[in-house]
Amino acid sequence: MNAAAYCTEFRVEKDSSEIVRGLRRRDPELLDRLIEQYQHRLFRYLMFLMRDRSLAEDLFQETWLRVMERGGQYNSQWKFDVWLLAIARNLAIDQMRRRNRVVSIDLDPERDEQPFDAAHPRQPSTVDALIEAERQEQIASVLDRLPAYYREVLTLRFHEGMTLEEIAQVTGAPLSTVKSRLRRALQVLAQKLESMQS
Amino acid sequence: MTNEKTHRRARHLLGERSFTELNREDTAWLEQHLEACPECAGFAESVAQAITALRMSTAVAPPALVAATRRSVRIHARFLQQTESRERMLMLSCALAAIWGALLQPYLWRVIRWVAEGLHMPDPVWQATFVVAYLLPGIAAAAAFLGRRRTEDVASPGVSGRRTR
Repeated sequence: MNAAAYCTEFRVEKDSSEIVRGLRRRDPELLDRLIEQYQHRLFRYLMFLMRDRSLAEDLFQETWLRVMERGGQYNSQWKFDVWLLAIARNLAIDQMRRRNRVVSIDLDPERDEQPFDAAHPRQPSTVDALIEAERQEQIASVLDRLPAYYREVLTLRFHEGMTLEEIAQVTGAPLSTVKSRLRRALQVLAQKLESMQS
Repeated sequence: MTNEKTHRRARHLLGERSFTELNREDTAWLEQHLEACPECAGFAESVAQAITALRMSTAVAPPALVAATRRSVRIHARFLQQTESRERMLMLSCALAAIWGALLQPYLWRVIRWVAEGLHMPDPVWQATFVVAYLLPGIAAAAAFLGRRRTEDVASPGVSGRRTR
C-alpha cells in the first residue's frame, strides 16, 4: 500500500472513530459539522426519492434528529454517509407507508407539483445552452416519473458516486438487485428520452 | 442470434457499462455493434446524456431549513443529555439503596421481630410487615422512575411535531 493511500485510509478511520465518539456523547459541535458536511447530499437524495420538497424538508429534519437519537448505534465499520442515507431511507419508507403513496411508474401530471430543481446549464448564453437546458428539463421530467426505487439507485450511483456495495448497504437490497435496478433504470430513462425526442 | 436478441444484448451491456467495467470480449462486441447499428448507437447516446444530466442536476438544502435543523438538533441533544444524566443518577441511587437495604436486612428483621414480640403480634403479621417495609422503598423508586419517563416522553422537544422553523 502506498503512503498516500495509507494516509487517506488512516484519516477515514480516524474520522469514523471521532464520529462514533461524538455521536455517543451527542456532541452538538460534531452534529453541526456533520449537518454542514452532508446537508446537500442528504437533501438531494430525499428530493429524488420523495419528489416533494415539503416532504423532503420534513424528512431532512427527522433524519438528523434520528441520527442524534440513535448515534450510539453507529459504528465505524460503516461509512457515515451510507449510514445517514440508510436512516433517511427508512424514514422515507415509513412516511410513504403513512401516506399510502404508491411507489410505481406514475404518469399522472397532477402529481408533479414541484419537481426537484432541474439541471441547470452551465452557460445559458448561447442557443446550444438553451437547447441543453430544454434537454435537461426533459430529463428532469422523465426522472420525476420513474419509480422511487429506480430514482434512488440512480441518484446514489451518479450523484453520490457510491459503489454498488454501498448502494446495496443503503437500500438493503442484494448486489444483483442493485445492478439490475440500475440497468433497468437507465434503460427506462433512455427509452423515455428517445420517445420524447421522436 | 436474432436481431432482436442482438439489440437486447447491446442495451443490456450499455446499462452494465455505466456502472461496471465490461470484459474485453463484451467491449469489443458492443463497439462493433454500435458502429453497425444506428438505433443502438442512438440509445447509447441517450444513456450517456441521461447520466450527464443526472450528474448535473442539483437540489440544494435551503439555508433556513439547515439552520432550523441545527437548532432543533441542539435543543434535542441537550434535552437527551440532561435526561440521560438524570437517569444515570437515579439508577445509581437505586443501586446504592438496594445494596444498603441488603446490608441492613438482618438488623431490620431483628428490630421488627423485637417490636412485634413486645406488642404480642402473631408471626405472619410481623413477617408480612417486614416484607412490605423491605420492598416499599424499591417500589416507590420504580414508580417515581416510570412516572418521570412518561412525563419526559410527553415533554420531549423536537420529537413530536418535529418541524421547528
